[in-house]
Formats: sequence, structure tokens, C-alpha cells
Amino acid sequence: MVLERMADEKKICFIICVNNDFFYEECVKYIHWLELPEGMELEILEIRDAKSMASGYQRGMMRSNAKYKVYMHQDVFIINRYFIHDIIAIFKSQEKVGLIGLIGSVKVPRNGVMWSEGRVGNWTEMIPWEGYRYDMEKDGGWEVEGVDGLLMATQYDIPWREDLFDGWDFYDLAHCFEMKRGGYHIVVPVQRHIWFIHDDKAALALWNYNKYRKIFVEEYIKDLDL
Amino acid sequence: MLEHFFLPEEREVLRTICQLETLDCLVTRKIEKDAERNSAVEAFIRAEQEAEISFLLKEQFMHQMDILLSKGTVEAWLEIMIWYSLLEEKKMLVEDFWEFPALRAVIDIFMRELGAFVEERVDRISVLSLHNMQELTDAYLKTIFLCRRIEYGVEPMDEIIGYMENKKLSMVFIHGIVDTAQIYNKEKVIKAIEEWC
Repeated sequence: MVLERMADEKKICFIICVNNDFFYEECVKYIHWLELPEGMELEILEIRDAKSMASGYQRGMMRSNAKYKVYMHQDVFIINRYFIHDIIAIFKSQEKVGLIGLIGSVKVPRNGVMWSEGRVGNWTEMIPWEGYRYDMEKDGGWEVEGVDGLLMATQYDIPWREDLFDGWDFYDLAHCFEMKRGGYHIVVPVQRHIWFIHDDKAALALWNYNKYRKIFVEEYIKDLDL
Repeated sequence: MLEHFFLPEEREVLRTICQLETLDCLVTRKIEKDAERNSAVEAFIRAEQEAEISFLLKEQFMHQMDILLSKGTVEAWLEIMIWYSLLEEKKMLVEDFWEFPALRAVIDIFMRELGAFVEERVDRISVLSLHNMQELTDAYLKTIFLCRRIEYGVEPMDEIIGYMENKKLSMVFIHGIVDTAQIYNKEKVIKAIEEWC
């Protein structure tokens, strides 16, 4: 269900759940480093004391009237300087694309473990970032069933399933499936040069992953049969 | 027997390692019995079952590292290496908490600095000035962030020079971090810093 609200098409909002200022401040430096298309307004919402990722993102979504929203982790640094241009170009060219991610899974396995059957989004060439521009026509993207929550850009507001996912896992995959239930597509652009750095070395914190995996499978795996 | 060789804090760490090993064996047996065994899910079942004791071990281990780091001596660092190797050998914690890759990277830097100290008569080993895990992880991350800003031209780029002086970090330290971190144009970063120094 898409929330019917007046959305500002000239605005992009980055929504970040924060529990570590050290990472957050660095993350924001890279957001300010991005090229902002002319006439576009940039908004950054830091969500403190979120009970869960889904509830934090839901709070951020309701607070912003931006048409374009980027939900991302505090330890992700966007290094494609034209990121905002690129995602808006994709959204504008394909109205049915509801969500863009940077790493994803073309087919989500029935066990819900996104990575157990390969993923897409890893960069393909080692080229200097200075000379890199994404070309939507030539580079294209993958249509996927799920993306990693490290970064999720949307052009439609669909409620986050904070009722089911009250922790830090599977909120991302659940949101992808909600998008699909809403009739939207999800894409991962082909990144000849990597678009992001994720400082998550050994920080996957998967202690509750199995609990939420079971909830996810229960709620969404039936959608794969449709 | 343990009482004769180890301090109370060290004995606690060792006991918890034994408990985690025992629990891990039990979880393995349980998983093996499960008819619907699924290798993709096994790691998560294990994490779920072992979460509580893993967090306890992490807390005890970090405390033990703080004790050793506070000494600021080469001998203490050699002990840190032994403790870390124990966890690494048993495949415990080192891939579960982000502090451990930082510790691993700084151990490698210590080895390089120790080599330079012995062979090239470099005047000091800069990692000895990191007196607890908080300082160690802060120095590790901050250095990565500052180096990365050089790579992408994110302002202020030369902040790293002030940081190195303030924290008394050597070029060996910077090289060690650049080698470990997700920095793609390592040459560009090192060249810029060397020009500023």
C-alpha cells in the first residue's frame, strides 16, 4: 500500500538510524560531497534511539515530504559522486521502479538467506572514481527480488513492517517484498566502479538473524509462488 | 592447575572459552541430528544459540586487552598476540565483532614497527601509545576515515597530518592501515601523506 501524500519532487532525503556519531559524521561528509542536481534540495534525517530499523525508518519516512528517500546505514559511505543524479534518472525513466539497492539477490532463496545463492551489485572494473560516470543506457541494472539494507533508495512511501520486524534483521528484505506487493520493481544498477564503501568488517551482528528469518519465511515466502 | 599459571581475569577468559567450545559441540550435534539440515542457515542457528556466551567472552576478552594495553610495553603486546591467536585458532569472536579486525590490523602494525625498531633502529613503536581498546579502535577507524578522504578529495584532506602528530602515529602505522582498509588507490593516499610530512 503506497501512502498517498504530497511528495516534493525536488527534494531528496537521506534517512539514517544513528547509534555511533563517529561513523555518522563521516557518512554525512560523503553525502555533502555528492553532486546535487540543480534545483534539488537535500535533507538529512538522523534517527536516534530507534527501537528497530523498521521503526526508525518509518519515523523518518513520515517526517519527510521528499519524493526520493535514501535509507542507509551509518557506516556506509557513498563514493559515486553522481549518486543522486543517477538514482533520480533511473526512477524518472522507470515509474514502476519503486526501490533501488546497491547489492541484491535476483532470486531470494526459499530459506530467506539472501546470499546463499549469489548476489549482484559488486563492481566489475577497477577504474579510478574520478573518471567514472554511470550510464543508464549502457550499464543498465539487474531486476532483483531483494536488496541489502546497507542502502535502499525509494520513490514511493510504503510502510515499513515495524510490526513484524522489531530488530535489526530482515527489515530490508521485508520492505522489498512490500514493494513487490505494491506492484513495484526493485533494481540494482550495474556498478562498473563501486558506488559505496561499507565499513562492516565482522560487524554483521547476526545473533537474531535466525529468529527474523523464520518470521520472514512465514510472512513472505508464499509470495514467491505467485 | 590454572591457578598457578594465570591471573583471575585470565582464568575467566579461559573458562569462558572452554564453555563456548562445549556449547559449540552441543549445537553441532543438534544441527547434525536435524533432519532438515540446511548449510545456509547453520551459521545463524549457531549464532542464535551462542549469542549470550559470545558476548560474555567478548566483554572478558576486551577487559583483558585493556589490562595489557594499559602497560604500553612490548612484552604486553606479545601477550596480546598470544591471546588473539588463541581466539583465531579456535575461530571464536574474531569474525563476529568489529573490534577484532581492528585489533588484528594493529597487531600486524606492531610487528612491522617492532621489526623497524630492532633492525632499523627507529626510535619508537607508536602502537605502544594506544592504552586501551577504545583508543586502539578509534585510532584504527579515524586513520581509515582520514586516508579515505584523501582518496576521494573529501575535505579537509590534510587533517591526517595533525592527527598523526597529535597521536604520535608513525608512517608504518599509516601504511599498515592503508594496506588493510578498503582503500583502492593506496598509492595516491600514501604519496599525498608523504608529501605533506
